[in-house]
Amino acid sequence: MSDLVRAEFLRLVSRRVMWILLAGAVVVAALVAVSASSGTRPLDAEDHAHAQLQADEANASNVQYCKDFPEDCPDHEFVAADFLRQPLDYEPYIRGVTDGGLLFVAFGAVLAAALIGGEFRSGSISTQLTFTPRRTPLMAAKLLAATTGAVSLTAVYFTTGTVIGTISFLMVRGAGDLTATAAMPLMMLRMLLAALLVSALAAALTFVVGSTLLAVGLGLLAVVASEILSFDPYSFVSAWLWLLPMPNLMTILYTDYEYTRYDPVLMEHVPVVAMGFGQAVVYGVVLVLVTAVVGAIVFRRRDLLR
Amino acid sequence: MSVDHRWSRTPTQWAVRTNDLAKSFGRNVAVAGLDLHVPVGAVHGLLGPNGSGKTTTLRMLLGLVHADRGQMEIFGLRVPERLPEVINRVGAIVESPKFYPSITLRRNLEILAMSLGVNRRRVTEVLLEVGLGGRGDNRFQQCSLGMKQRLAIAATLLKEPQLLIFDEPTNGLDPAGIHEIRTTMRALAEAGRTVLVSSHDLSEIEQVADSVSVIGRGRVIAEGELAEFLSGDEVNVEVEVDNNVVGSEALRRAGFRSTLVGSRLHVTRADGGRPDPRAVARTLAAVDQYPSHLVVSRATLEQAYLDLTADEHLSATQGRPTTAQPGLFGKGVVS
Repeated sequence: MSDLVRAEFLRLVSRRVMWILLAGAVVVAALVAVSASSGTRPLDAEDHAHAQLQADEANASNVQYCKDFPEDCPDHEFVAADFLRQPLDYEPYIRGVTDGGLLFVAFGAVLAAALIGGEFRSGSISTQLTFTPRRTPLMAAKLLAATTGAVSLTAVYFTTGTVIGTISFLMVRGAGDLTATAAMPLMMLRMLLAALLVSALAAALTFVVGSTLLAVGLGLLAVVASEILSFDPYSFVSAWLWLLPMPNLMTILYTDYEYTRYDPVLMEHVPVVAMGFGQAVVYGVVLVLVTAVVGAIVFRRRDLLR
Repeated sequence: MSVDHRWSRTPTQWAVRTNDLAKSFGRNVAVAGLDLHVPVGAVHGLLGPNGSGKTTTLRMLLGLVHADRGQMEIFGLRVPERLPEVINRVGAIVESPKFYPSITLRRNLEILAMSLGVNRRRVTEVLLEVGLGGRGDNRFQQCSLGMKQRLAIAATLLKEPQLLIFDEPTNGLDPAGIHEIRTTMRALAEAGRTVLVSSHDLSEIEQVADSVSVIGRGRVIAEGELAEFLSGDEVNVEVEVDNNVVGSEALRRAGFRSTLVGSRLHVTRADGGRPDPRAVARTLAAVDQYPSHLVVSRATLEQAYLDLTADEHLSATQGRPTTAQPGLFGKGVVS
């Protein structure tokens, strides 16, 4: 088994597309961090002057509005403080940069499916089986490698975004403002966990259907259906929210994520605490395991004609 | 359907043996009760037209396709149940070579070697052995078909196998490549290995094989030593006349059997004896069909194959007379 795993990781790092994607993650993270760093800049005279200009324009608009609609005339005057931008502190700045990792979570899932599906399409999996005929260990090794490759994209994005973001922040604000709480690394860990579960699920699903296209298609269908169902305004679906993949994924990513439902008595949307973080993680792990077991059964029985 | 066995001396050791092997894909019956015997230490040809079940049989042996029924053994071990025990003694190239396209030849072999627990040094050795020593850093997708075939052979040699399975190994190769594959197969057999090669190219099999199995419609029709298929009694006379129908009928009445191949009649004796060319010429002259071409040729594998599968072709063409296409399988040799 260890030989198989080593072989799969060797294959992973030998693929040029893997290095291109990792380089892409670095570039995107750097671009996002650099472009977002302007939001951390301390306020200066230009900012105050710009805010004052906006306040003056707003007050001038109000004068005209009050002439036309005296009954709706606002009773306060705008001041510059109302329009001053708030410089981003370190933690919200880095969180903003690393939020882009969500894109790489989705992209990683597609990559994991493509790494597996490509082997069915090319027939290289048949060649491998003439060397190592035990299908389940081979599948496990491929799942591990594909998932690792996919998660590494998110990890590289985080690392690059955090490093370059920190350097940019230091250049703009200095070390004195470099403060962060435990919430920031916890958020990154949650996103990595989400990437791990989503890419493992995608890879396992590809073993079930034997095709990248089918796996990605089914995944998209599940996401869309889940989102449509979870936006049900009545209580009918909310009781079954915990079965849907997207609410669970959102709970893993943002523990304070809430769903609301319409309360006909109060005649307003009220928050629904759908599930806890631990519950969502268990859901994800069980879903991956069940899909992997089904994938193993299907793969063992599949006739490989390529 | 009984199998026509042509062993002068039945081998005692089989590298591959199947019994009543069957496989269907939906309503399509690919293999329909196949009894195959491949002797140890020989080049054994698996002959049959496209769609006769050759590739499916090989895939079942290698565990890539699941049989519907039947038993299979490789070196006496039941497969696929015990395939992991015997797979290191088997090397296979099924249809076209399939490796990771964007990875170099060397790296492709290294991945396979690592999965086997074989030292990477062996990769360099097998690349040199197949003449790819200087091409190891080429990407697989950039290589010619001949190079890809050689890589596939190199991969099989990683395991130092005792049985090599080649499925249509010369497809798409140029004459030099074909010669190389043929030489490789003979060298492997002479080194004591068993080679099972599947092909529809009879002339190729005739040049390399020691024994053959002829497959038709998913069953073995005949199998045995190649020499038994080409025995001296099976001589035919090849004639060309103006009216093949008249000539064929006259020959039939005179106790001959004729098969139209292209524009010529291949004449044998109905009782299996050697046809006398003078008697053939006299028979045809008696009906005013004077041969413009008359050659006495020894039996070829092509002729033996056509004779064996005549019923298959007749069924396939829905009752129309059997007519082999000219040039499809090569020509006979003048004796």
